[in-house]
Amino acid sequence: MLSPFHPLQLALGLVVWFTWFALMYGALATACAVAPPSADQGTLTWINVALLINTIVITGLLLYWASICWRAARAGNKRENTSYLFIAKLGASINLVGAVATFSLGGVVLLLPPCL
Amino acid sequence: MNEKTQKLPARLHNDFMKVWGNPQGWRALTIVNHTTIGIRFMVTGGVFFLIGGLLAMLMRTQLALPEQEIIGPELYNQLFTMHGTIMMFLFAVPMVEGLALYLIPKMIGARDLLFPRLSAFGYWCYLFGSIILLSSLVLGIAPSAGWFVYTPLSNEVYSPGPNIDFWLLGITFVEISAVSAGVELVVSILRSRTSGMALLHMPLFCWYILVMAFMIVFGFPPLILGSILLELERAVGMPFFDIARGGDPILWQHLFWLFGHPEVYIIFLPAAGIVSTLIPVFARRPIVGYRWVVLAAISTGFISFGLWVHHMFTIGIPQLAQAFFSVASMLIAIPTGIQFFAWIATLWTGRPVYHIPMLWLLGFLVIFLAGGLTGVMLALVPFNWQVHDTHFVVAHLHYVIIGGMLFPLIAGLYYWLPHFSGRMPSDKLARWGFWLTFIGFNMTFLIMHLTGLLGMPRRIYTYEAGLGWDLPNAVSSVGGFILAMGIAMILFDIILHFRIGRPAGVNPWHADTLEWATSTPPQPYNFISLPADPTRHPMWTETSLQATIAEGRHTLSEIDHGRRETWGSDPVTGKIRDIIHLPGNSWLPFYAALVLSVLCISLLIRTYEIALIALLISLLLLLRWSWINGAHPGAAPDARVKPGYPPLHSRTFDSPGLWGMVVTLFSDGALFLSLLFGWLYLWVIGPNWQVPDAAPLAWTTLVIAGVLLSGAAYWYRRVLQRLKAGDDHYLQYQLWGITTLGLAHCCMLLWIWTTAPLMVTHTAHDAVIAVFLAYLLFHGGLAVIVTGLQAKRVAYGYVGKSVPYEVAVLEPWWLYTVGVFWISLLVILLLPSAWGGM
Repeated sequence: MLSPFHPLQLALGLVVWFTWFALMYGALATACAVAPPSADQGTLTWINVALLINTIVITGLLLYWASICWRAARAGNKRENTSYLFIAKLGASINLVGAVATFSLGGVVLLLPPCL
Repeated sequence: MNEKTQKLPARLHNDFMKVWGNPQGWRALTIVNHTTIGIRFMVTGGVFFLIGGLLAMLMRTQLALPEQEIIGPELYNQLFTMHGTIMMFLFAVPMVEGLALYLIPKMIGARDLLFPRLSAFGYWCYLFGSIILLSSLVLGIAPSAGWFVYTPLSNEVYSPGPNIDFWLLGITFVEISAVSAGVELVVSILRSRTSGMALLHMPLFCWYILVMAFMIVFGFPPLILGSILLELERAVGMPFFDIARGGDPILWQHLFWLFGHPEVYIIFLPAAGIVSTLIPVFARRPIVGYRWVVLAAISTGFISFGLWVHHMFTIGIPQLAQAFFSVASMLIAIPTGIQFFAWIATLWTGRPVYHIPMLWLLGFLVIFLAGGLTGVMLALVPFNWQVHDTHFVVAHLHYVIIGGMLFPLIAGLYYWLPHFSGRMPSDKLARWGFWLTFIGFNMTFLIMHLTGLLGMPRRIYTYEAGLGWDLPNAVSSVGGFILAMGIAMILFDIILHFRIGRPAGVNPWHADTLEWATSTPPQPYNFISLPADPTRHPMWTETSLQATIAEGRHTLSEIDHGRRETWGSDPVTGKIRDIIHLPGNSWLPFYAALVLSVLCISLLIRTYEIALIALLISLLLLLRWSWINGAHPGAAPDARVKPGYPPLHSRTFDSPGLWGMVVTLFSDGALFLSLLFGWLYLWVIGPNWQVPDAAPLAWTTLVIAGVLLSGAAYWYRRVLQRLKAGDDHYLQYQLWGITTLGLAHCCMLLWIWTTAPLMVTHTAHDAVIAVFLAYLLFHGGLAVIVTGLQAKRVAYGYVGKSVPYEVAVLEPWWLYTVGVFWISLLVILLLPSAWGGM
């Protein structure tokens, strides 16, 4: 993983979120074009399951990164330059926002069938 | 204390003016200084605001009563299209960019932006593009398909005249300006902060502008691509959006809103930056939750890219996909809410004083909150369906844009007015201006929500009496005229204050940020000496800063060398790395933009021979521009610096130019990704996508062309590595070798293109492939030209071991060109095979 003190932490979590979002939207469109499940299946379709697993994995990853940044910021309080501590703390928040955004959007697959 | 402090401030000022001074008369067109350019952007934007407002008044006159025939339907279509276009493209974005260009160097303790000629070029592109676009209104052939020019209404069949071409070409021209300012602002904020100004000390306004500038860099390319594709469809017949030939009009909507929704936040974030700057000053305490506000600004910037489909809820996309965008649209209210609470908490815990700017900020808080709440309502799909294309949406848009952007902007203008002029505005006129605007605005648009809920569609030039729309429309029109009176009052106040406003004195609002350490109005060099800034509130911690700066008591106050200089610093810590020497005034930006406007006009009237000539001349001008660089006599041939100072940036490998190149490639990459999106979208969604039986391009020759390109890029990388190790043997010959290899690649690509059986006007499939090929050829060709130029510069002694930075600047371009080549190959040749198309 990127160092918790690296400036790219200020964008990483949300870049991952946006990439995940764009790919999920694209994958949904492609899956519905290639192999649309029957509308009778409701939310219990292979598409919903795949999207949900994907959501959980990415959310977990972002939460893990958030915790690494946060712990690094706390552990580095005395030895690191304040500028880098600022980045680690902010990076933890950005990763957390990314995780919340991912789960909020991805959680919708529990509620709606994919191709209606 | 610096040795130059022995000079008197007046003498120092005179010496600095010899290097930084602005010429008068015609030569004022050569000025590149950020203060002048920023003011030009704002004044020009202000003029366009008045023109856009005038169009709105005409529309409100027409709608005041039912069944009026003051304005006919065709003119009305032109009016609402031009009103939206002017306000969004010619006023809002340039205005906030102008303010940022003016303020950013002063706030970060720099003397200028890092690419001043790019700023000037951006301004001229903006001015000329806007004039071209507005000329259509005068000629009575203005665009008339709405400010988002949806296809098929905007295609050659349904809009046969030049109206839409004005929009597509004019806006694309203006967008060059926006993107160049975006690149400029990103690099300047990251690389030219004064000594010790770490990221955590940076003024909040700079954070907001940094996010905005990145958003411009990534957000504008989808529309630039869309405009190019639509113009190609209209002018040449390439059917990207024509269903019958494999295109899809919905693709335009995606490309437009991929830009269009971030655009709203591109406008809002700088305004929020103004709010976050002003509230602590008038609350007389630091902002509550600095880090939370930064987090909110960054989050808003990112999430705003995930909302674009909420403008397209009614086009028939799957419910699940709509739900994604609905949730994302509600999610963005959270970071906005964080900022709101930070502002309220700052006011709550501070000792607020209610000067004129505060009045506008309070107006903003009320109006934008209402606009934000109707935004959340519109994020709900069923409600969105219900009010789609009604006046409810118009009301929401104006609450967000006027409340979220115009009110803070006017607060900012009043706040920085003493900075622009050295004088204070009239309190009485300003209060009249505020209340007239506030009352007029709410009268116009609050009731418009009801008009929309009663079912009145937007963009109709008249309506029947008795539908329940008569009274609300009459109220809106009266409100509109009161609003106009308010704006006139503000204008009157501003004009008057230049003549009779009382002198502002030093730091009249007791502000905390560095821009108030310049003289008011500021000198072209901003600061005689550059102060260290290890705090968030330099003017509160060191109240005598303006005097000590003017006396030259801080750093980099030497000017005998005749160079325009500012500090180059570490992006995170703000530690000084190098001295950045900046280019001076020049005709080149003006001429280059002028010739590009000739190109734009000749494309408009479809005289392609003249367009080609203009293109070549503009290329020559831009190459000439790049020639005066590094060790060129017109740049910095003498690299001596004061003992103890870091080297000039042109003597290092990590110059602002390298950063500028990388940020430009981000923008370029966003355009390429948009093209990839278009290609994949048409493959998957295009209702009548047609794939030829055989692949139109031979993969073997393409692979050979790719190998040549990769070889050239690898060689270039090796050359740079050796140069970094201090070895510049045969540098010139190696660069010529790379140029030759690159040229072979281009020739091969051109041969592939010209011999391929592409039917670009018959199928969208072949048309998109042609665009891919043109994109690759452009990148390969430019790599060849600029590398050849480098070889030539080595021969002149402008580039070499002691002045290596330009070679490093070009490396990302080569790597990018190789990357996009192989990705294109993959998606053009391999992906269709995997899909089973060919």
